[in-house]
Amino acid sequence: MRRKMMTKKSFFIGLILWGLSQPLFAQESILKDFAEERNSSKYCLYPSTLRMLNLKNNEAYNDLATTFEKFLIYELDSVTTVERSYRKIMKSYRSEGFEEYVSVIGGGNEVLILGEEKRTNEMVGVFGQNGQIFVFYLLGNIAWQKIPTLVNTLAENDLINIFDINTNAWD
Amino acid sequence: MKKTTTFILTFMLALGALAQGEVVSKYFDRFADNEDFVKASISAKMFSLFTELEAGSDEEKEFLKAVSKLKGMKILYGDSVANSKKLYSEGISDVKKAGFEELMTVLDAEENFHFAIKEKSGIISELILVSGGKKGFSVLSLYGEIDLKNISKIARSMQLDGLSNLEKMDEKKNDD
Repeated sequence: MRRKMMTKKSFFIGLILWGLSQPLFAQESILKDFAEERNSSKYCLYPSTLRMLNLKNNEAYNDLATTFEKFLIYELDSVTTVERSYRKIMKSYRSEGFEEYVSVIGGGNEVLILGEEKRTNEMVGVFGQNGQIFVFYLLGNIAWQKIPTLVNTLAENDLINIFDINTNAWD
Repeated sequence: MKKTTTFILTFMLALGALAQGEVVSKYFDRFADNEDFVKASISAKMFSLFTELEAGSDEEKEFLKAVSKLKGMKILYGDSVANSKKLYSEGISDVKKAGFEELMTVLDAEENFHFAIKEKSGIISELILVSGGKKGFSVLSLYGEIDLKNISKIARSMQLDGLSNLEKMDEKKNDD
């Protein structure tokens, strides 16, 4: 009888934990499921990897990097870029309650940033220019207040530009 | 009775919020698939992020104070438009039809600027700028609670050239 009660309790706790974790996984998976099969490059950044890009050890940058939990960036392949099917994914996020922060479209540019702060502190978006499209997913309680200090203190070449790394040379 | 009044008031407020930026939205729809026009919008959510920023200099403090009451901004612009003069005239006409009051017009050899506002009880809820030149055309709408004194500061910080013409209003006042 006691064992049965323990099993029920464990199941109940497990169910609650699963329920709590659902928004996180569900929101990330919309983009991940789409972009995993349709990218030409993928970058997965965590606080430690973000700090590694900081060549001059800029303090404001490190402070900001610690507030990122996960930063996924995909450069979409040429077919997906032409099809613009990533726009449907952004629509899906809107229907999940993500709100628009900024959008720019036209003149060869495409920028869209959507955010969901109330439940999970997530952001997703699109950055496109000259026929190249990047989509991103960001999880974390971002310290926006650090950005002016970062902008004022960050100089050119202080950071490693991950998009300039020639990964083909590793093959 | 009280419930009905509350409902009607809420409904009217919601309609008012939806109506903000409607002139620019019309142009967004019209040129939705035209790559010659850049369509940009910044939502209230983004402006609310500005309020979280730590201001360093006095200039930054002034900028953050100015944007803290804004609810959104929409811009449509094209710098290589065939019928820019026609679009400029249409733009002014649309602004008038939407019930805006003319604030200032700047006629220049290169580009003309038309500023109009929506004001109620001394509070400006929307500012519209229509500009047109030989090849360029743009419509900009800024909405929320707008203080005209601060708009040129926002324009300078955000590099919105057309809006900096509002400084001419102050210059004119000083000349008088």
